[in-house]
Order: sequence, then C-alpha cells, then structure tokens
Amino acid sequence: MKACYLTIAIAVFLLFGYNTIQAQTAQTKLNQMELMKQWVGTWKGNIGIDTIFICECKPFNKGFELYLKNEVNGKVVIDWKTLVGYDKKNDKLIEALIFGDNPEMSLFSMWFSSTNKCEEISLEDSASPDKAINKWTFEFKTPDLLIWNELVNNKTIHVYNLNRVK
Amino acid sequence: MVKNRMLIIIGMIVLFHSSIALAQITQPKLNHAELMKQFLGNWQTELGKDTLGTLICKSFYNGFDFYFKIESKEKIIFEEKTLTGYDEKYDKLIKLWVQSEKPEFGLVAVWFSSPKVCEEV
Repeated sequence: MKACYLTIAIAVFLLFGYNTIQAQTAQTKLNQMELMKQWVGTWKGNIGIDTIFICECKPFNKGFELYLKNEVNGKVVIDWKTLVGYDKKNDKLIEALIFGDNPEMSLFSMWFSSTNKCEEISLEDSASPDKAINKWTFEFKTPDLLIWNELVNNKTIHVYNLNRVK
Repeated sequence: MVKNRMLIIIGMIVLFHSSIALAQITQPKLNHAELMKQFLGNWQTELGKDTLGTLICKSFYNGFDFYFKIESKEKIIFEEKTLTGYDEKYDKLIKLWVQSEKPEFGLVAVWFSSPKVCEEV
C-alpha cells in the first residue's frame, strides 16, 4: 500500500514538473515589432521646471520614426530624431538617433522584456547588457500612460510620466 | 662618372618618393558630413517604362533624413526611409534604413572617397 502511494506521489511530482517545463517552453515569444506599436502617437510629459518633453512616433512600413523635443515655455530647446527597425539576428529593435547638433549619430538596442515594458541601452553595450552604465526603461502602465525611467549603474536617477495626447 | 650618375639616380628616386609622401600628408581630409550636403534636395530618375524613382534628402542638424520611393503607374511599389549620421571612430557616415520590402533594418557605411564620389557598403 505504502509503495503504491509512493508511486502515485512520484507520478504526480513528475507530471507537475513536466507541465511546468512545457509551460515555460510554450511561453509566447514577444513580437517586438508588434509591441512597438504601443509607441505610436504623441506623448507629452513634464520633465523639469517649465520643461515639457514631447515624443511623436509614426509607423513607417516595417519600422518607426520618432521626433522628440524638449520645450521650455513653448520654445524648442533641443530636439532629436530617431529611426527604429527590427534586428532579426538578436530579436531586438535597433534605433539610430541624431541628437540636436551632436556631430555623431548614436545607435541603441531596444527590446520589450514583457508586453508592456521596453528597455534600451547603447548598441555598444548590447554584448553585455547587464554591464551597461546607462539604461532606459519605458513601461506602458496603461495604453495612455508611459513611465520613463533613466538608470545609471542600474539605479534609477529620473522618473518621468508621459501621457498620450494623440 | 658612373658614380655621379648613380648619385643623380638615387637623388631622383628619393625626391620622387618624398614628393609622393608629402602629397599624401598635405591632402586635405574629406569632411564626409559636409560633402553629404550635395545630396540635399529632391532627385528623380526613370527606372524603366512608367517607373519613376524619387529621392528626397533633408538635413537634420549634422544628420540626414532620406526618403526614397519607386512609383509605377502612379502607384508606390517601394519605399525606404533612412537616417544618416557621422561616426567619428571610423571617419565614415553610418546609415540605418527601413523599407517596405524587408522586415529587417539595414545598416551600412557611407563615405566620400573623393569630393564627388560617394561609396556605400
């Protein structure tokens, strides 16, 4: 009788373990391009005294183009442009950025780590993302509220709330 | 007499090589971002019967924004957008593109090999 219970217990245990493994394997792979569509529209937020951040994201075929600016008292003080495309090899997004009159173009690696959380680091750091000094996370709390975190050495230094205006 | 001729020949060789070296040193370094401004504006070309290619190049600070489309019988059959900027490390321009035909981005190096010739790989 004892042996019978033991056999049942082992079978249940194995079944449980097998189901867990199967659930992990079957976990849906995140569709980075599809999730990126959450960015589409115009976002606005206060990022300092009298400073408004505005981000306009438009889809373009298999990519996205973004225009971003900081305004102080309604006047543009800095603006930048980015183009985002899909990087199949790494199953991530890649972003090229021209920031104001910076003489160089910057490249970033971007990915959704969950359906509503987007993370970004410099492309140079993409080989060891955990060691990246600068990191940015964007969390879609609702379809109209985006929380932008700026991290240095994995410590949050700024948090901005962005609201969808369009 | 033979010795003198030898000295003249050696002298000429040295002079010739130093001139080449000097020319290489004094050749001005090409300013790729500046030369890229030659692309600014709208460009059009016929790519075949009833097929027109249009390239629109705009500057954005020190970068460039390109839009390229191919129209056939007034219908867009191909579109591409690119963002081009300078890469100081390699003294070249880098260009990221997204287009209608491929699901992936493309990243290429662009540079001027002379003031009028632009190359891309």
